[in-house]
Amino acid sequence: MGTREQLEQQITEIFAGRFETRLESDDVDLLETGIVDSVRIVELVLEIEQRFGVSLPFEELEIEDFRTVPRLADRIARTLPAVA
Amino acid sequence: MPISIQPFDVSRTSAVAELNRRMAAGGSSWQFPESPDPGELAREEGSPVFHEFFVAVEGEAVRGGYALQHRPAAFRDEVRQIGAWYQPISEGSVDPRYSLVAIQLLRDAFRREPLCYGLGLEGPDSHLAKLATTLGCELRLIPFFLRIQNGARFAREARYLRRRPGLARLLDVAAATGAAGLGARLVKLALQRTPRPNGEVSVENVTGFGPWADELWQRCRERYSFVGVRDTETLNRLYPPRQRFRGVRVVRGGQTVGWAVLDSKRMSGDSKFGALHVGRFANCFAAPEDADLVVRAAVDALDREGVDIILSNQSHPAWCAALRRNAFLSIPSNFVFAPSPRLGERIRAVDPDGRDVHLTRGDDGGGPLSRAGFSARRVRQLRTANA
Repeated sequence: MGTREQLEQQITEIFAGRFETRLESDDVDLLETGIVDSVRIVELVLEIEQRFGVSLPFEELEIEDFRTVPRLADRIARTLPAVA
Repeated sequence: MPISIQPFDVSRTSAVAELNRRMAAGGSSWQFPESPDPGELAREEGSPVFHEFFVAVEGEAVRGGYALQHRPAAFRDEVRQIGAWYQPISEGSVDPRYSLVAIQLLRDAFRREPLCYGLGLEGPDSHLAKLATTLGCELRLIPFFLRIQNGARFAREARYLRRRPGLARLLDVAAATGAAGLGARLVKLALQRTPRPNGEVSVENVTGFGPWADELWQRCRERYSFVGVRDTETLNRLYPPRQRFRGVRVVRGGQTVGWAVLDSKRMSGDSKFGALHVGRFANCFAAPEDADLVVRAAVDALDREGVDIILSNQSHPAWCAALRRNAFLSIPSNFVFAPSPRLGERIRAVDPDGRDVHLTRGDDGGGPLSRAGFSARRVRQLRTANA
């Protein structure tokens, strides 16, 4: 899987590629800016599950997991022990 | 704090009222019912037809909710319990911290009634429709039809046509000169291709359903691949005698060949219909080849009430064709059928193209007559628009 930085980079690429949204920085608040809403969350989770081969049950997710790219990377990393 | 979806009970009424206040303060027109009482459709021992409300609970606060109508449906010869979810409301529409709520609500509906659907959804481009799509629903538009009864009043009052200034002036001239009335009559004459029924056919006005509805249901249900059960017990639950509704029963040679449930209202300041007297051909059942007779009977009944226009949504090709033969115009539809992934699979198993699905406005869990009629629908549309 690679390093934590690579994980964040891949998430940023999802936003740029799938959602055509270029994030100015890692600390952009994805919720307050409206970049992420309920539809985008479902799309994001499905994309992450497919790309990283992980399972992210909606019942176990918290809205703060989607606040920023690093927070999202934290959530994915918890399912990927190999990520440093 | 985790959010869980729970049945709405009286202990949450003040929390729902607080939710409604926060929604209004956030600029949303959505309001969730502040009473958990499902009215006529409370759960009854032995009846598969009932309503429930569910709320998204975070500590003492309520962050959203939805309603679920349970009812049986037939997939050709197999009857299964299904659900129709409606009135979803999420605080996520005014506060992004609750963006997960809408997802949780729909997934909860899919879990409680795996064979379930949403109907309406304010069109395929609404946020709610997009969310349903991302959760695996394959959307389908249910065709929409309009019959103009009073051309002059339609020209003056149809606000959705009058939004274009040039067209509004033209309609004013048409109404003032009588051209609109004449035009509507000519259109009806040109399109009306169903002759008046012969002497073997009689039409009765009904205010309830009897054994004749069961006989018709048993005889015709397998003609449809997916149809909400329309036997006597179910129909009398959905349209109880206490709730005012008009129905017509069509009889041929002593045998019931079809029925329709009708609805009408004089609008006032409506965003689409102005002050028109709007009639609705809300629900119906017959063998596909007898659809013409039922549509004709429904039109005649609503015509006697003096409605200005008649509206209908129908999915089945035979009913759509019957409407066209009875001078209904096909109008671009915004009425979406969103079956859950499991329901979509079940329908495809018996009808891969979905051609024999029979859905009407009456199949909307919160639709005409099942709760508060037109006014409830308008409120719900506002809710949907802000999903």
